[in-house]
Amino acid sequence: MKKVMIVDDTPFMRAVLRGIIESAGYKVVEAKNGEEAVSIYTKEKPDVVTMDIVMPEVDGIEAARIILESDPSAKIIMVSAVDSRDSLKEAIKIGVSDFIVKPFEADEVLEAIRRISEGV
Amino acid sequence: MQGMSAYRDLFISEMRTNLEALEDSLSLLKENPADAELINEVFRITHTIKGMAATMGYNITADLAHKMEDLMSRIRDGEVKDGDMVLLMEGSDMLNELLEDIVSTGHDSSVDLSSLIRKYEERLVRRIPPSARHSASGEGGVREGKKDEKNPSSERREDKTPPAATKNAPLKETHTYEVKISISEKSLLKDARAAVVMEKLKKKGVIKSVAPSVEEMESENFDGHFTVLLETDREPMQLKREILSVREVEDVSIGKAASAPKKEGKTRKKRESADLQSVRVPISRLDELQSLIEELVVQKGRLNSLTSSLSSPDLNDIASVIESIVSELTGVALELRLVPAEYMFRRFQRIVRTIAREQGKEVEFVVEGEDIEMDRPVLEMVGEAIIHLIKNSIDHGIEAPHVRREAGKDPVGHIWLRVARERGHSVFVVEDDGRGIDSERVAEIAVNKGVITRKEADGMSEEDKINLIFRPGVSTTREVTSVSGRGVGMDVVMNILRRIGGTVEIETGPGAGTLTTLRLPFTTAIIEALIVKIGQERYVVPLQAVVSILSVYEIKKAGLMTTIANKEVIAYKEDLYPILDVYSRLSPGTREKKSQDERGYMLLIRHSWSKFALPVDNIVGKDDMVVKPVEPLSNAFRTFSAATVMGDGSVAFVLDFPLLMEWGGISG
Repeated sequence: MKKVMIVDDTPFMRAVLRGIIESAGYKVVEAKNGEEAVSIYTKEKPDVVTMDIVMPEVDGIEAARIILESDPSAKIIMVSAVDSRDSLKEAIKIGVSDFIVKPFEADEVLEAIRRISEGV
Repeated sequence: MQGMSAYRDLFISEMRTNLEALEDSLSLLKENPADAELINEVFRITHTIKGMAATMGYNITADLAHKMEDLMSRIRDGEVKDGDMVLLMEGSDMLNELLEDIVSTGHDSSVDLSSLIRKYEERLVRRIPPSARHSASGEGGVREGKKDEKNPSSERREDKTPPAATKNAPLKETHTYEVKISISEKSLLKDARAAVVMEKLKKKGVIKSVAPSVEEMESENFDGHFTVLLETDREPMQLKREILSVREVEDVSIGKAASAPKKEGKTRKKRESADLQSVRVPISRLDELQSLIEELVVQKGRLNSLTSSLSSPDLNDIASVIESIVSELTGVALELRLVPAEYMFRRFQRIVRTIAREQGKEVEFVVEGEDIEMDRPVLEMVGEAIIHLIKNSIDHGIEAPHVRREAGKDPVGHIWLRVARERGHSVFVVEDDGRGIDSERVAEIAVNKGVITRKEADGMSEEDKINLIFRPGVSTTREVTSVSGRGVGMDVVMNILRRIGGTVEIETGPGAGTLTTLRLPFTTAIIEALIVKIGQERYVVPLQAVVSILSVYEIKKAGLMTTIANKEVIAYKEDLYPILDVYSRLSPGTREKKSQDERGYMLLIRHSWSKFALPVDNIVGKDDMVVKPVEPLSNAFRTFSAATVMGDGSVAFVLDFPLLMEWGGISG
């Protein structure tokens, strides 16, 4: 079973994403900030990561940067608000695989994960 | 998104936590306004609230949180202004209220936020600090150097890319391809999606050029189509597959680029000359220009009044030259600010899709005239009203597919948005082929809500009954939502239109769909106005509404005044203009009947479908006026929706016709 790590500082957003992702049969691990994301990533080696951008302390961009530096093959989907476009573009330059825009549809989330995890 | 109800409890409890944290941080921030950590904290909380609320579909909450977040991000950039804290506190209170609304009713739509939102918008628009004069603000602006200075890390990374790409650069035989890529219409951040594609391409070869440029892609007008010249050793088919694997990429075509440098030179030359013909300017600069011109118009007014009192021929000449230059300048500046209506309506497709899906309805949304150019501030204000109308059409107008099928209708409902320019007006029509509004139902609700009495209702025409939905307290009730009336906030629509001097008309009937027409002045900024005196006070009347000006003496001499059903009426060119008896309201202490005072005048006014005569003491003059919306301070002050600064620096109010008509007992 493929494993997805959800990184978001908001329990609500984590619960929503977990609901969507588990319903499609993926295993889910959660990280509630950027720092945790980095350490859990090394431990769990998830196939796909969904990464919120705005988080306290270590934000999503920084976390993505650290993860990609240690594992350039990491598959990260940024979860962005429409007005976080500058941060988002920074993340794309760093090498994240995809992004979804809040508020998102369940289908979008699953399609993004499927494309990446199946290496289409 | 569908199926969100399962997360509602979690949402509510987490909103509570966030709102408490917001309150705490705000009160700390009030004590330490420069504390960067606190500023960040508040920014983050509003961002989180926005995201959660949008995910749940509580768009009003999300919108307010968004505005607060915008304000915080300005503050974070060092643009603090007096009153910011008050506005943030007010926002925080309102978020609490919205949450309570959600808890008790399941919606966040019965609280009227328009005036608070407007305060935020004004604050966000007006903010042009000297230090940031040259930096683009908001979307659609030109990005420039400053950003990169602020973010050295991203700069460094960017610098790294070319060598990396060169390293990857093909050792085998390479070709240069022209790769045309189309990103789906639905994509929300097309420029970011394009960036994903380009990152991918950088790994396959060397990007020679991109059109439109990366900066241009950030503009609202970027339609998702772009062309990359790529030098690579990969096979075109393989390349195409790779690009298509990026989400939201709809189409890719790859052709051999003409490798001859001659051709490349030609395209570059072509681009250069195109660049020379148009210049990109951040919208904030245009706003700056506009406010300077407004100031100039005010000062020109002062010059005019000085000139007329000095009666010097030389000064007169100069004044009239300046007059004509200013009026031309005004026109040119207005043209500069015009944007295609599409600028506003592009996102409506998505809104329609989302709401329709939530409601289990099938809706086709058709926009006509989206390429018509309009004044941006007008578009932005009216956009808010149109969203209300569209939401209502989907919520209450368009029936569920099976209901429509049973009624012999196309199971897919239709909503049309038509945009047009008509003689100094912008006209927006929202039409649906849904179930229409039942006037009896609306009247029933108005009676039940105590807005009108049963007796009043019985005496009302069908049209008047329909128009009741614009009264506060009628359409905001949930009862209307569950029956075939219109739902939320028609009074909000009315308020928006009133503020920009526009009108709303509804044509509907049970089963007949609903057609709403919004008509507003082409620009809110400058109007041709008549200045009149009522009592001791001067007032401004938009000249476009004035059919004729007659002196009471003339009226009497020509016998134009008659009495019909106990009301004084002026008969003028086959039309009847009832005289509005509002004089005592505008000039308290006046006893005499103005319609009999031969020294006075009557303005014959046509507003929307209504006609009436307004008695005034004197006509002071005619001028171009910069009109600013007035925030309603209280109900007692509601007479005036706008004000203008006169040549001598005093403020005159613009008479609000709908209210005058209400006072005078004429229904709209």
